[in-house]
Amino acid sequence: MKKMLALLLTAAMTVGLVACGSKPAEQPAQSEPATTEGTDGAEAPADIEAPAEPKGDTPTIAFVPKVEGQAWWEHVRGGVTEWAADNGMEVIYKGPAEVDAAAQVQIMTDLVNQGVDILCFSPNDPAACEAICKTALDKGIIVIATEASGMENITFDVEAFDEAGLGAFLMDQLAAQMGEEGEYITMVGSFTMESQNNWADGAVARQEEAYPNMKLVDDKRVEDDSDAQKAYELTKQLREKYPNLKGILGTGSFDAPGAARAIQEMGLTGEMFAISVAMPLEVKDYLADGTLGSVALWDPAVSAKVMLNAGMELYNGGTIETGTDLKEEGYTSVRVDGKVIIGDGQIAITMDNVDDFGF
Amino acid sequence: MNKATLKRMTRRTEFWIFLVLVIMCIGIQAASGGGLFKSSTVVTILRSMVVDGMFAMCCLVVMVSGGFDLSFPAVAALAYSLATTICVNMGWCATNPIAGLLLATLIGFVLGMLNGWIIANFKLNTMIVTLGTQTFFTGVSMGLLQMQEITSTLPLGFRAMGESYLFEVYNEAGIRSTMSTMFLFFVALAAVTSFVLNHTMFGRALYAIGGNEVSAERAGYNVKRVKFILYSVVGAVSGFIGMIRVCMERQSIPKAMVGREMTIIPAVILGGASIFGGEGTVFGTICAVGIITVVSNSMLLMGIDTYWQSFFNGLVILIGITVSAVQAMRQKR
Amino acid sequence: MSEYLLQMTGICKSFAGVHALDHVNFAIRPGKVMCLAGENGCGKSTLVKIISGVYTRDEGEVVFEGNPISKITPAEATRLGIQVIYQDLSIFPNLTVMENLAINSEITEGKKFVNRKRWEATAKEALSKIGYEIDLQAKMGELSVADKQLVAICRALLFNAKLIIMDEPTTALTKREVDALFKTVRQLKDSGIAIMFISHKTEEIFEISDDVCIMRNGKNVYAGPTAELTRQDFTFHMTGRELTDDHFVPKNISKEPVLKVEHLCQKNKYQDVSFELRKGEILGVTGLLGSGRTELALSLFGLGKPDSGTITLNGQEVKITSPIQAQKLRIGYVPEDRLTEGLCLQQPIADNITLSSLKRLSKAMGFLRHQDILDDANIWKEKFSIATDDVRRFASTLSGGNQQKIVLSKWLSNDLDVLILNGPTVGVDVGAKQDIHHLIHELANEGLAVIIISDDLSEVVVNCSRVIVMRDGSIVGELTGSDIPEEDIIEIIR
Repeated sequence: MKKMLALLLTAAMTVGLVACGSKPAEQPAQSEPATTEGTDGAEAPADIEAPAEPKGDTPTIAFVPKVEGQAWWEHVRGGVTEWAADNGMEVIYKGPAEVDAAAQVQIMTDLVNQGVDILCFSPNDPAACEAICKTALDKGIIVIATEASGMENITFDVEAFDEAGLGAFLMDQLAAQMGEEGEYITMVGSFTMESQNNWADGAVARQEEAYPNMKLVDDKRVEDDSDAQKAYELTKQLREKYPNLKGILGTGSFDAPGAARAIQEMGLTGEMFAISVAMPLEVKDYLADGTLGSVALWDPAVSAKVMLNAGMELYNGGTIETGTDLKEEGYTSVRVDGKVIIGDGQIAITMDNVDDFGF
Repeated sequence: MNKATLKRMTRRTEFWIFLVLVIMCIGIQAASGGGLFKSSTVVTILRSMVVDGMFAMCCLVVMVSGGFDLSFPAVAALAYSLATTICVNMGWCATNPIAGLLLATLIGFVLGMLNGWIIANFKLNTMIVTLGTQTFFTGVSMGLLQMQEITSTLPLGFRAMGESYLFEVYNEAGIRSTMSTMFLFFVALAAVTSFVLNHTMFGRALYAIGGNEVSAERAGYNVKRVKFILYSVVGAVSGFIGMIRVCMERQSIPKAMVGREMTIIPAVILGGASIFGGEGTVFGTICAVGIITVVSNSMLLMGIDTYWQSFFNGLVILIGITVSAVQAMRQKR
Repeated sequence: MSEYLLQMTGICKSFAGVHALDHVNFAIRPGKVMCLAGENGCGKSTLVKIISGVYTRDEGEVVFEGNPISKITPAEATRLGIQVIYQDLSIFPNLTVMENLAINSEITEGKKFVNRKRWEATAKEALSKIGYEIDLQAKMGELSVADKQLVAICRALLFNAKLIIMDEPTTALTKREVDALFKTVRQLKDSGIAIMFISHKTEEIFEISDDVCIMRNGKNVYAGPTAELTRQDFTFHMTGRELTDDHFVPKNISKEPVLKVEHLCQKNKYQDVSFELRKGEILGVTGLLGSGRTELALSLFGLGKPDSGTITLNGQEVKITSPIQAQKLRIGYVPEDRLTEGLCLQQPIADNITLSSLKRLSKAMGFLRHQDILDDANIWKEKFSIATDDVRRFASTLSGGNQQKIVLSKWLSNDLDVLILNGPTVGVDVGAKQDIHHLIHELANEGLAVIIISDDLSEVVVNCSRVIVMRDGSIVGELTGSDIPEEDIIEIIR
């Protein structure tokens, strides 16, 4: 008898929940994306119809970084502030005090409940954000993420570059420094980091296609455990093993600084070269003394502005597809692949712009 | 050399570990086509031994006393992170790194005193205590103090010290290798450790406590005081070594030392220190650190994938512990 | 100058309200050996700790060389010339003999640095005190127990010891080593040093001591010259009850031998061993250490394969290749240390009893049948009259003798034909020893065939109706009768 009652209660509650859940979705039915609820999620953004009456008023916009206070995100804050001033709008910039997925979700939940119109964020844990993003979409909020490939419940994900493209970019720079000839080898932070390995693959593909006088001296990649000290030791050992080694194509952010220290110590500045994605200030000294010619990066402040631009475009009834101009350098003609907006946002860090970021 | 002395010598782990080192070096030399015994390679290997070798000295004295210190990487990391941060913020050490070194040593000393105080007063298992303080120190560093990576803003004094060298050698391809000045610290620490262990009553107290703590107490050693001093000094030295590492690597990364104990403790065990205490020498420890460094530096040279490193380190742990256990069994008999 | 070196009167000490020592009186004369005897937990070690300054007495007077001593600290004890050689000898197994000898005086003198020349001089001086010679560079841990003990004695002598307290020094020694130790003790005695010898072994006490102090439950029940005491009195004082040497008289010996061993040989261990064993009989196998007695027993239990010869069990020739097979053939073997150490004190009695027969008491998949375990344990409780009201109580709640009954029942709870006991009462005090003996007698009378392997001749004599004496791996004599004189065995044994 008890069991029966419990079962009934559960059933009743489930029905109740479903009813509650569907309500907010139905109310703004005429206006926005909620109409797409039944259709295939992947197509949803493309199907966004222009709102019946474009909202002339200014939207409430929020930007949630992974964490507040760190140099990287302070730089992003600068970009967001600049964008707000240029566009005469206000953006709520609020993130967790430390890198914490739960705290970030809490902040996003508060913002969604406050009723923002555009929510931009960079997830600490993409999977943990899915639920709140679903609620946001159901409420008709435009959800723009970055570095969140694979997320379902978003309007768009903005990525500064594609993996092969970044690899090619790294290779182009290394090749220029090496005079487009000589032996090189690839280094990653860890064999298990998929993206870094994809970048390295992209770089090798680029070399095979464009630089016939360069030679990958060994198919075997080396990993430095994301430790500059290890990168330093590996570089010395590699040069010992391959006396003609001229270039280290790194990907992880510890590769170039570690390799540069080894090159400098071995007295090979100008004869041996290294590159990787890296934080500008960490390689500044090596850029200054010429041990490194350049490193690669993307400007997260620019990415942030692109996210905001994308949000506004959608809010104002526009659409985003391959070729759309998102009004920032590297994003004047973006590619759209499903829900991912891909730009050409990679930039070379040299002595000219090394101080522009604050990290 | 009479027969008894020879027999005693062959019974020591140090003897075998030295033999292994020599044979291994010859083997690698042959297999790599003469890649090992080049002045440049030798200098590079000796350089790489500095930090691990110094930490091994700390581990050694603790293990001789029958204890385990899992917290030294955390002590070092907190000490150098805090010291470097203070130096950066105060603008110290632009030319002279002394203030930073002293600061790190002092911080290490305070942290070590905490270890020593708990271990001496509550007679707890040292492995558990230091596991606890390790986590605690890391928490203080990452959570409470929010220590950040310092690379480009590292005081120039540190960098200058790290870059200074005793001499430089060039290989046939004209590549330069420098013998870091820091190597002197390693030599000095090894010499001091050896002196303390063999020629002071404090050192003998460590062996005595490691051999039989109750007997040591009965014999008149102040076991509590010895342990307190031991862990405090080890903390101070760990802080100092941490700073040396910062200078050599030109970066202060709060997380960089995490898990370091798991490569150094096995090395010390391999070098003849007993996990049950009372055994271990500076010579054996240096040989064991030598083996590990030579191997990790030769993997590429021999064309072995770098991830075999973990395999080798695991092997070292197993061999070290087996040797230690066999020795203990022999002694029981 | 008093006749006594050390006099203690009315010593009391209690821990948390429990009297560990209750008005203990005793005195030691210089140049004499005094035995402190008593069963485990009678307060012997507390008394020693008061003398050596580890504990402070609550009440009582201490007079050393005629001077009253108000408070003894460890340093004060050393200054007075009191040295304790603990059971574990307080040595450092990882250090050399030289360092072990020198370390104490170095610390006492407050030395900060090592001077190996000085150590060597100290060590040599120590060894010369009893004219003992050993390699100073040898590692302490690699010496025999007897050698370790001599080193410990030498070390104690360095402090101009007037009183040396030896805490159960003979526990881990063979008979020959005990003789050597006693020689040294007499030597010390002759040089005017008083020895306080702690033991519970009757024979040793009567052999070595001049005076004896017997303690029971924190009180000393006898103090006086050993010569005025008979062995019966001694046992009575020790245990508080009249114990008689109940010699075993076999009641029902089977006609047919249950075990027959013929011409059994194992190279370098024993040769051409033949004997028979009947049900209801207790056979003693004795001999010095290395005579092959233990190896023979191990072969019968499947440990150590004989090279030739036959073993016949219940008329069938068998090959025993492993302990598991031996158990299947209903042969049980209880090694030396098991009777004294084979107990999980913090576990229920029932679990202890059934530990070795859990397979029989469990269902498929290894789940235990708890009721059966309790029933089984209760059967043994009745059989051995184990003094407890509930087998679910912890083993630690039992007295020593009852604990040993449990251990024995653990081994017997699988049905056996032949039970081999190796040194069944090594390290057991008098009262418990008698309990175990009675138990073995009972078992034999119920039809079990028992072999006792022991070098404790009195034990062999009391328990065995037949004794085989082994020397250098061969049987050199066989004695029969319920009252074999020990002298007869000694005659053959060497």
